[in-house]
Amino acid sequence: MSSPRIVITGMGLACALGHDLGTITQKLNTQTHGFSHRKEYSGFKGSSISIGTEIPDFDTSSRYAEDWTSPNGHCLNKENLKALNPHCFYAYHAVTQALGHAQLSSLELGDETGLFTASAGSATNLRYNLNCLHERGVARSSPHGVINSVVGTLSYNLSALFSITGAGCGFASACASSAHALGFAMDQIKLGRQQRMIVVGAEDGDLDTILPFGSMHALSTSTDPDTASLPFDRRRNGFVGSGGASALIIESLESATARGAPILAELLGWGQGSDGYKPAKPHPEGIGLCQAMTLALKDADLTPTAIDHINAHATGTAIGDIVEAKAIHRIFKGHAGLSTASTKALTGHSLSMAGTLEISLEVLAQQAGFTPGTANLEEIDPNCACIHLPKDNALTRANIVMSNSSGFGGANVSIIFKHWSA
Amino acid sequence: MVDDRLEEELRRAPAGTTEALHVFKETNDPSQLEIFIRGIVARNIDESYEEELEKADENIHFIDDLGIDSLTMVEIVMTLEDALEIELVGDALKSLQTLSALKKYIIEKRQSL
Repeated sequence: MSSPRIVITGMGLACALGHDLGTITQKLNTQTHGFSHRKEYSGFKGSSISIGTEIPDFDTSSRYAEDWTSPNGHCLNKENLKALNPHCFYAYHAVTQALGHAQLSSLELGDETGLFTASAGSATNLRYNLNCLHERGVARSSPHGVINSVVGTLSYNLSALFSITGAGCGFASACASSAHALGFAMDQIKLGRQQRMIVVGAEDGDLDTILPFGSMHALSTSTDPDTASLPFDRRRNGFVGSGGASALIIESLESATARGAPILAELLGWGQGSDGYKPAKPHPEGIGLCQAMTLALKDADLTPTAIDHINAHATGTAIGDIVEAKAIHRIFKGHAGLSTASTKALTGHSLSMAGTLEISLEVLAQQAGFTPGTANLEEIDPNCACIHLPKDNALTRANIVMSNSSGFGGANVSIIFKHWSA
Repeated sequence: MVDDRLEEELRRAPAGTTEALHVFKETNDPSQLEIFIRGIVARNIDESYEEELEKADENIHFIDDLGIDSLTMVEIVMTLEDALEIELVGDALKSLQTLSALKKYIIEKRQSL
């Protein structure tokens, strides 16, 4: 018996570019970024960071989740809200949107549907709750302090809010997390264990999440939002941190066809590989990423020349972009038609959410009939020039796309998908 | 730094809650205590239960009748403890799940101080 084919039938986003798919597609098409000056960053002690992102039309700034607002409103009650943090709130929006997109009601989920998630937990809530613990003591700290902050919060909150009773698990491989979640979700369907999976990546993306990367000198110190995020560019000096939520509904082709669901793309295969090298530095030869790309091609039963476009992980850090360019060159050398781009030039780096976000952006571009370039790429780093890096969007659709994600410790994932044409 | 939790909870409670607290602390008038407890409970329950709480007598059960979960019950008790400067120790929480039981316990507790 052959493995079931797997398709994407719904997407939901709340990211630096917006919270509705039409606006996000338009910004992607016109290469309009989502960056702005963040006074809380530039005013923080010892900080040389001033550019960040926010999620348009959401306000999660209050300590009290009951005050939070979202563009389309919500029907979350006080009990629900006390267990949430900003990224779970964004994810509630993204999953609701994705279910609508996939023409699914929450009543249809049950045990036929699983949920795999990726987030680093809520650093802001964790800090606040631990401060309370130390200042007030155990008996005077919030009883919701654990569930609204720890790693796992995204899984158990979404599972409860959407009554999902199938497989449920959170993934933690730093910035490869949501790509890992999607890869293993594909396996759940391939193995016949679930008919449908919801895959969600989400991050608070606020000061407590982002500024610690400033201590690593990994963040862009640019003061100009227009040129703060420069993947593959000689002028780059770090990434712009972002957050939000990205949800994908994936299911077997049989399931999607049986219920007449709209099909957006087909997931063809995935692979992963580890560097086994340093906790915070990629292997100079990108061995884990090469392994991930090779295994993804094998899983999809494709040769390198079948890939039209790569959405690179490239965040805009000094070493990471070069290693990725070299790894892509190693696997795809001689493939003249291949273009590579980093959409982080527009969205910033949303950490564990990056994988699902970037696949969603590429699917939106496929739907609209264009292929993203790397915005603002004026001066290609000579060390990255071994691959084709267009700055402008191509006015043609990339039919088969590979998306790369890499995390600390050299965790690498590559996922291949194809535009769906009926 | 953490914020002043009690101040914020009182600010978010229905009008009259804070005043009832002050009057009760001065007079030990049980009717003012009931207004205060009702206010703190109302601040923590879902809107759909507000009418239920309003028309209920003092035998209303916090968990069974108002859908309050165990963690929210802990929040309510923390606010009562801070506001009334008492401690609901040990297993007291488990047996204090109706308005009447909670009222009686608090009055006795304050009398013993």
